[in-house]
Amino acid sequence: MPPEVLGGFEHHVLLAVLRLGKEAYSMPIVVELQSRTGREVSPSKVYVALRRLEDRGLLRSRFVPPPVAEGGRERRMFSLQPAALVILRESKRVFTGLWEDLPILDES
Amino acid sequence: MKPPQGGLSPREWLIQLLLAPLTDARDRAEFLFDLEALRRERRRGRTWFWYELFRIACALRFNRAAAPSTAGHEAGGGGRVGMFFESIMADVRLALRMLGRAPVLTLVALPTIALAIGATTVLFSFADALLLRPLPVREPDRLLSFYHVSTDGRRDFSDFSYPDYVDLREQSRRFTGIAARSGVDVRLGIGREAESVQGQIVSGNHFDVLGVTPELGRTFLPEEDRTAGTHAVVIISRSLFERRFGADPSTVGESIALNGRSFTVIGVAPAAMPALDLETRPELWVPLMMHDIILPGFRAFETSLFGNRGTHWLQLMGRLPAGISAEVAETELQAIARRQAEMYPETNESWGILVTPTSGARTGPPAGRPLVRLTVLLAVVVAMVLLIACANIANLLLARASGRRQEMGVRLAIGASRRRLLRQGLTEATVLAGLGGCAGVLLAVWGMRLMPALGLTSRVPGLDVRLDARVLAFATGLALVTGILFGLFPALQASSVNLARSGRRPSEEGARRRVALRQTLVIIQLAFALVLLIGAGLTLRTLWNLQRVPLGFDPDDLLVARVDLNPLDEDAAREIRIYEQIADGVRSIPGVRDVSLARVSPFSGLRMANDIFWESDERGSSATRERMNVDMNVVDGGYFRTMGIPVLTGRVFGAKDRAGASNVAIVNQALAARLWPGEDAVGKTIWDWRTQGPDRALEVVGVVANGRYYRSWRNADQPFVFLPLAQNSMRAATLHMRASGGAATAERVREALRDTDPAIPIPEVRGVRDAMADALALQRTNARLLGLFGGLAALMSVIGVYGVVSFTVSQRTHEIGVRMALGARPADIRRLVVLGSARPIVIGGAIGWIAAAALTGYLAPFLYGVAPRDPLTFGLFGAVLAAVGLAATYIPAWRATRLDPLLVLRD
Repeated sequence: MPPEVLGGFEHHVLLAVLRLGKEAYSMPIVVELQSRTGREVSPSKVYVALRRLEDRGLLRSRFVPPPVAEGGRERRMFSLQPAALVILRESKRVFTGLWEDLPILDES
Repeated sequence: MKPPQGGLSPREWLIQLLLAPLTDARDRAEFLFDLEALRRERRRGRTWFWYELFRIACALRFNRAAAPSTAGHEAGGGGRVGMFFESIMADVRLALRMLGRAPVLTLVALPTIALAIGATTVLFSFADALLLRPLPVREPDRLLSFYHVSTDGRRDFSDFSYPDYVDLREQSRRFTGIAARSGVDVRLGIGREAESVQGQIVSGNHFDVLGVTPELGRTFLPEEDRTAGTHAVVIISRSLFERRFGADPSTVGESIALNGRSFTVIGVAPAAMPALDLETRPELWVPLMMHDIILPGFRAFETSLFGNRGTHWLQLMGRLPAGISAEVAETELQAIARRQAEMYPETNESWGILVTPTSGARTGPPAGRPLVRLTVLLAVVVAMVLLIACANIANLLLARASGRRQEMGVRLAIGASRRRLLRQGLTEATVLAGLGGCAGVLLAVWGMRLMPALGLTSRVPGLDVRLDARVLAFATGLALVTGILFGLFPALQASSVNLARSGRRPSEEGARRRVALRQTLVIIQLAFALVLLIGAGLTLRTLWNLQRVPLGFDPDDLLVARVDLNPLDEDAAREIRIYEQIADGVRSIPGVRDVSLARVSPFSGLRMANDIFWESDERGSSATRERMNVDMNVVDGGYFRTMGIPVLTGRVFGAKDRAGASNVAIVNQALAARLWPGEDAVGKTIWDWRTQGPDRALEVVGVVANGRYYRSWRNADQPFVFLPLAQNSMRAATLHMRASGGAATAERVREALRDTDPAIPIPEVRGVRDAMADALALQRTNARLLGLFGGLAALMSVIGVYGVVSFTVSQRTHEIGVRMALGARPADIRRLVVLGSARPIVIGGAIGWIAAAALTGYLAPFLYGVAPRDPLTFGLFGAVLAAVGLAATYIPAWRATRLDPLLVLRD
């Protein structure tokens, strides 16, 4: 699957899922995106993106019972599918290639 | 979409609706939990919460399966639909920001729209239940109700006799079935507790013709309605099933006592069983053939009830097969009616048959229908309020559009198309209307809970008023239409900015055109507001008049309680003994000063009437007998004292007026004056009509003052006859008590009755004042609603006047500055502005007067003691509106005088 079919935001969501590993529930994903991008992220947007990515076979999800100690509700946990890993690997290769030998851009 | 029910609050219901695309409840729960947690963490308000909910609702519905986005970080979806949707969403976001930036406009406009849409929605739900929604039965359009209609030109409507019903059922070939029914009060006993419930005695095919299948059990079998008194079976309503049997399915097959006899429950009607008459909601159905237990009052002349063609007591309906029109069916029925008229001229000569669809017939025979009239009236009223609201908001938006000319000019200059600007303007209006509509629906939910309190629905328990998908669809459509209605002109104006001029001062000519448009809107508002105010004034005066009408008796501290004895007990002497026992028990209660018995109590909704005869010229040799239908009551000797009705001549009933003694009567002044003008009525004779046997001669022993004893307030001079209790047996009597102590005394009366005989259903003890308030409920609702809407309309139009004058003054700043510089005094400037603004007020008032004069005739049936075109009301409210309107012009006028001419001219 060619990498250009992935939107920027969806790209971010996939990376957040990858970073969170076993903790990839919708709420931690929102928080992760927020802290990493430094801007407020709409939960409904994340939610819809997750479902769309799942529809496209890039993510898989299942309901996970809550840890016995905590009690509470069942939550939907997301995990990356091999196709997603291919896309992310490819995009990383392209990005690092493009950044190579460029001077660092400072905030100023 | 489902109506809010099952304990779901409107808020929860809306959330469920928005999240419906998430089919797994766990997903919905998780999303809501996350959303609420984030809201708290980010310290956002409810607005954010709802915004996110709407956003996900839209995205899940339109966007989810769309192609992936290539449009960068912010755009959520791709594809044509997705793109269009995102651009609409962008418009909506922009509109929300714009509304947030104009808080005053939003604060004025939103409640206005919410009120208008809320009121319209409540009324629509009412009209929908009353007139529009089809009955919840199989093929409701094939169900017809029959009426006997008099062919003598008076167009009286009537029910049918049993032999008429049998003829129609057996001779008609067009209908698949014709069913008959009649309302009955039945005493229901379960265990030791007795209760009086409303039911219907019906032909065996009632449920099949109606097209309703029982929820449990079965309907009547043919043999259960063939032989008299042999099949004691009953079908109960869903509400009775829940209320008295705890919804236990094993109830079917059990026995319950009706009027003291055992009946087997064979079925439970569905919850959606329609009430065919709006005034009652039957709780059980019994076959016609069980009449001698269910209708014991008629037992004495059973032959006349089932054999007499003159007794009209059954309501009929029929079901047509596919392909037969109502006209064809009516023609056939009329032919049968003509044959009946030929065969039985004495009873059937002047009656024809008319059919109407059953859904529409629930409001009564095709004539009259005050409820329909009231609904139409209120529909016109809320439509007016809605239009005024639209005009008002259009005015506000127009004012803002002129403030945004520069912005629009810039957007055009950097490449926005006019269509795009128009769309943006309309989106803003629609967002405003949508938000107002949501608030309006919430208001409507609340308003519907208020309806019983307003007396709108308590008169019609048979009506299912509810907020369902139809009503919500209506409200949504309404919000869209209002949005376009009040957004179109301002949007057109904003998008028609002249690029070359937008940066400069607006042209004189353009400004004048805008003022003219806004003045027209104000004129429309004022005219509508005046019509509503005059309507409100007329109904308020009616209410005032009705509450002060002399009643002819003293309603204060008067309590009444209807006592039903066992309807199967036919021992008249014992009946009277029990009543006397009850009266004695009540008399000993502290606070009770006087007790008496009568059949019918004032304003109870019950009425007793009969034909009487008299001889028009008793002295002449050829005395002719004349006949008149009069109101009646059966009372004891203490009744006139308890009620406070003055006795003018003669005496009241006494101990010697016993059964077997010569029959006596007391008449009111109106009857005495009508029958024997200028003579003393005491000693004269009248005859009353008997179902069986010859007419009975009654000697008039007293004359009492006129009064309004029944529901109607307009009949003080109605002829009236009182008969003595001891000579006229009755199965239900009403205790009349002159008592202080209110609710506490009422409770003691109930206890006293329980002590006398536990088998008597414990009645409601209520004040006559309360009954009067009930009888006036429709008038009061009318006055309140018209007053509320009239006031609202007046307020909105005054805001409109204020807005236009402010705008005009701001356009004329330069001119006013010049005038002041040339020596005009503040008073001159004020006069200039106020009088200059008087024109729309005068024109609006004049149009309002003309419209009101044309429309108030429709109110006539609701008015009392005031003419529909009462000059005082017209003048007063015209003056009030003009005064308030002029006052509204005064504020901008005063502000104009505060201008500094130097500053203005330098500008």
